[in-house]
Amino acid sequence: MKTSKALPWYSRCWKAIKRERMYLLMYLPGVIWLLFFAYLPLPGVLMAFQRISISGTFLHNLFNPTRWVGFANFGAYFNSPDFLNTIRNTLAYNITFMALGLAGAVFVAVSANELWNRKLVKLYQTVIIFPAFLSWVIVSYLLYSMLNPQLGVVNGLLTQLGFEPINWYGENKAWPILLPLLNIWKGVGLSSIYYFAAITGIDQEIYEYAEIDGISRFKQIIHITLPLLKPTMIVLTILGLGGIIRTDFGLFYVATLQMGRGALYETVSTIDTYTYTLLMQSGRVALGTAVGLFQSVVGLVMIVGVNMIVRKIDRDSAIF
Amino acid sequence: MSKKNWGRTNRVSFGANIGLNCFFMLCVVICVYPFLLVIGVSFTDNDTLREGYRIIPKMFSMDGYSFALNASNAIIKAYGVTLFNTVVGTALHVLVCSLFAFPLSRPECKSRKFMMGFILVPMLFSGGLVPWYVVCTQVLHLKDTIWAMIVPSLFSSWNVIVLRTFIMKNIPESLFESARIEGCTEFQTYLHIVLPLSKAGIAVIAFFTALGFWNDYWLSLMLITDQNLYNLQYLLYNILARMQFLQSIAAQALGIVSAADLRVPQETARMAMCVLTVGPIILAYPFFQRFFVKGITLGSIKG
Repeated sequence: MKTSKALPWYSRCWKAIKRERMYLLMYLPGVIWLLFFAYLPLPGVLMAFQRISISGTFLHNLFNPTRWVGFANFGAYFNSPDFLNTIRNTLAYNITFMALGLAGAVFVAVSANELWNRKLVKLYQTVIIFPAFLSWVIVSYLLYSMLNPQLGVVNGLLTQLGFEPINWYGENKAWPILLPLLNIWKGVGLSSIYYFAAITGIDQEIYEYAEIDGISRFKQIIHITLPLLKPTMIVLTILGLGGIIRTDFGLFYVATLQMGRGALYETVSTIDTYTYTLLMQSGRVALGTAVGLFQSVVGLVMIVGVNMIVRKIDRDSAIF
Repeated sequence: MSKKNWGRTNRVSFGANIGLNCFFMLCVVICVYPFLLVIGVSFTDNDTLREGYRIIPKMFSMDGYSFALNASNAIIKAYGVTLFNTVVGTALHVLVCSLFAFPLSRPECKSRKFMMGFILVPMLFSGGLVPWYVVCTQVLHLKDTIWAMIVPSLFSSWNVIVLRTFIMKNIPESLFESARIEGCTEFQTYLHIVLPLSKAGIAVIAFFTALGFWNDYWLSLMLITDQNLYNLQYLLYNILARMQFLQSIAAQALGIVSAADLRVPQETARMAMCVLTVGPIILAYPFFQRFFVKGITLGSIKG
């Protein structure tokens, strides 16, 4: 009788496949999906190094040596004002969102925990979480009802107070403030739940000892609750940094009513909206691929780096 | 949440409590006011709108709604498309992800490590928007089909990981042992043990997936130009983004050739459309309120 070691490798492989064939069948739909949507696009990044002609197909471009332009597309992007614009906006907004989001979520969670009336807490949470369930399209309508230059309530209020109405959707100035506000409005309710869950998991005994020692509730929050939340805060923040090169398309393109108009270009374009515009409006496929590839590479570095750091701090929280 | 509240003395001062309550009431107002405004505008006479939006209409009118309902064909079609996408998409997504998660949770499955890597790599690096678009349109020919809004969302590595963790933490090994002794195939085990016992985890994943499908406009933005395939959000998007859009679909519905002849209560009709679209979510909200808190705590427990 042959032992398994005596079989050639391909027979062993085949035997293993046969043994696991049911499991492999279960993997199959997901694998097929991934092959098409995650892995097949990968060779497409080669388009970033080409000059794409409209007449050629992908394969035709691949094998035609005159089409290859090396890093020219990247050079074009890095030297253009678009680069500074998009990078600055992407990073600055993301950092702002993270800082404000963290402060807001922690503040809301801690405060909600301190309210005397528990039923009110449930009510408040129910309401402030709700915006998270809306699509940015709906949010754009809500915003439009307030910022419509002729009819919106904000301009109505301004004119009543004697000020000039502002052309909200045409002027850049307000959006660096509006966008973080929108982001918080939509997100703080849901993210506060994480911290709220963490707070309710804290052993109440510590507070009782503190109370016996005569420490005020406020001081208890500062010296017990917040420090105990620090690990969660740090991990969530660091993991959030992994996504710093990506932005929420809906916020920057839909809620701003940009949708193709270029008016707010300076303050509202991010790498994601820029890639979208390159593909769908200018048809500049090669440049769009180059920008996307740049974003993916930076994203990869960030996620891997960020995970290595989180592993050192709290192994369980790392993604891998 | 602790069952017993701390002693009546160990809490913030009365003044602080008032202050915090005021803060939260302000938050509530900020969350609710925009909706009241939109509803108010939708019930206003379009001409008095020239004086500006307000919550309580200066002159009540159903103009916006009657105009919007001229385009009822488009609305009903959009509801149909969205419902189809949501139901079919969520069912398929949950099926694909749970099917994938089950073998991942089994220690005896030799291909586990490889498959974990296989789903992890796309989380780290992607080809970007343009190659994805090329695959969707030129390889899979998804453009302007109903599947364009479903197929690209059929899988999520994150959901698979969450489900795998859930299975590993909640289904005892002894059940799998007894299944093996009974001679169950893997599929039978999946069907009769894993699925019923993962109901809680699957419910949460299904909820967030369904919400994603219902709210999705992006896949339509990328892949749909056929007006018959517009889903609710994309219909709304076009109404706000394109000046003449509402006019043109109403004109189509009424059979009027020259859309410019149509008297359009533009702004109030837009808000009426918004109300008609978001209404169901608001009405359904109390019902699905229970799920999401569980979902967040579930999602924060990963492998």
